[in-house]
Amino acid sequence: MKYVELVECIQAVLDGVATPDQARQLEQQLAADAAARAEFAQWQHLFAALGRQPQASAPEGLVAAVTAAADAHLQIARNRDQLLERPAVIAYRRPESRGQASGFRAIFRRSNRSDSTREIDIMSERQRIGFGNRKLWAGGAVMLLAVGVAMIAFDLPPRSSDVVGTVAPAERYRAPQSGAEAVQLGQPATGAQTSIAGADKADAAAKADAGLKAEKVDAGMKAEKTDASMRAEKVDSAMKAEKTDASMKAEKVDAGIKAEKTDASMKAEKVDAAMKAEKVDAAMKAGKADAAIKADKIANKLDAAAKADKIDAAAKANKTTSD
Amino acid sequence: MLLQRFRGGDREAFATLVVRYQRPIYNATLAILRRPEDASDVTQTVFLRIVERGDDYDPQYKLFSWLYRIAVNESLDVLRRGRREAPLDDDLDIADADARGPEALLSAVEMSTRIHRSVMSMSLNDRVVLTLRHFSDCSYEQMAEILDLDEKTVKSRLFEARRRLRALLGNLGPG
Repeated sequence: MKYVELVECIQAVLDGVATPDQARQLEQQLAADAAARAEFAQWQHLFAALGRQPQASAPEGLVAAVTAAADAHLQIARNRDQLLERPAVIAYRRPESRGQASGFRAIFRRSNRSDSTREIDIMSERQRIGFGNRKLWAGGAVMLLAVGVAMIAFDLPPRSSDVVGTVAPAERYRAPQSGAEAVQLGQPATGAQTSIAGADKADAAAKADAGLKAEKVDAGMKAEKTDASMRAEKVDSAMKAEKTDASMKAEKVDAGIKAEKTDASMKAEKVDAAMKAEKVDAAMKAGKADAAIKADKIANKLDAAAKADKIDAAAKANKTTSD
Repeated sequence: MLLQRFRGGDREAFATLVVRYQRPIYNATLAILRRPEDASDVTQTVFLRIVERGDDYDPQYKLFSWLYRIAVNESLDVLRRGRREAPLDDDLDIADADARGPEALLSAVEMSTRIHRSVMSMSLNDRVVLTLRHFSDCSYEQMAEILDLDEKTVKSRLFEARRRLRALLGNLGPG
């Protein structure tokens, strides 16, 4: 048996979970092997020591602290539930089949409460629902009755036969208007002249002032309009002048460009003419050179001919002398 | 049963439940956190979870398995939030100390201290499985429930943890 298998069997036996095979194998091994027996003794000692190993005591007051904390937690949870509790009934449903109890069945939210508490709630809810319906019907009947009594007592609404006569548009009230005679313009405001008695005259004067002010305002507005139109015209004329300047500048630029083009073309023509003249000169020079060469050739030929003649003449002279 | 009574409004049942489970829960959290004040806080939190989530309890599991699972998860949450594991102090309660003789007591204290230090020096997984199995007497099945593992994995982890502990402790006595 290998060491690992031996230890496995020892641990299983000491743990109390060994199979019959493991127990038998270990027994055989221990009977035959002293080292296995020593190993078993060591493990047995360890298991016993672990079994005797003391446990640390829980801190003092832990029970009291835990129960107090639990109470506080439950209290907080209870308060929170009360604060945040929504209505337990989320819907009412009328029983569909006959034979069931009258009234509505309440559908409840899921809650942590015990079933017995919930059942009590359901019962009280049914009672509240029934009572609420009766109140609703009674209130509706009283309201209908009150409306009927009011209609009879006050004859509401009035019928068309109750109305007699024709309906004419109402005439608007107009106060007496002050005339032009109430206003005297161009007169100094002396005490005698301003002794216009009565509120009508004062009104007339006020209206006249108002009219004058309005006319002034109109005149001012017209003047402003005129100024504005004049300004606009000035702006237009300035713009036109600018446009004219711009067009003139453009024309000048065009003319300049054309002049430059003309100059350039003239220069080009001059260059061409100069080139042609140079070519002609060159040709003339070439012609002259050719002519000179020809002349030289001719002169050489003539010189050679003269020399040949001289040689011939000398030869003839020699022959003649020798003869 | 205690939980049902408490949910029915019996405050005494809750107090009884706390008295019964406070020590193993505290030791389980202490084995993970190694800091007594953290273990105390987590133990309180575990019992408050019962108040808050009593409805979540599945009666097919044992109550202490559920409590241990909450304790392990809360302790791991504390570690995940950045609290480092602290070394434990050496104040241990020795059972029936008065009944033993002075030499036996000294030997027992020495052995307990060695084991305690060795266990607490191990990795978190090793500490948890050793604590659940040897200090809280949980079966493999319960450990699997608490740690949300299958039994084979629990067995394998426990086997390796014991071998490592044995290596740390060296020679334990005669033999």
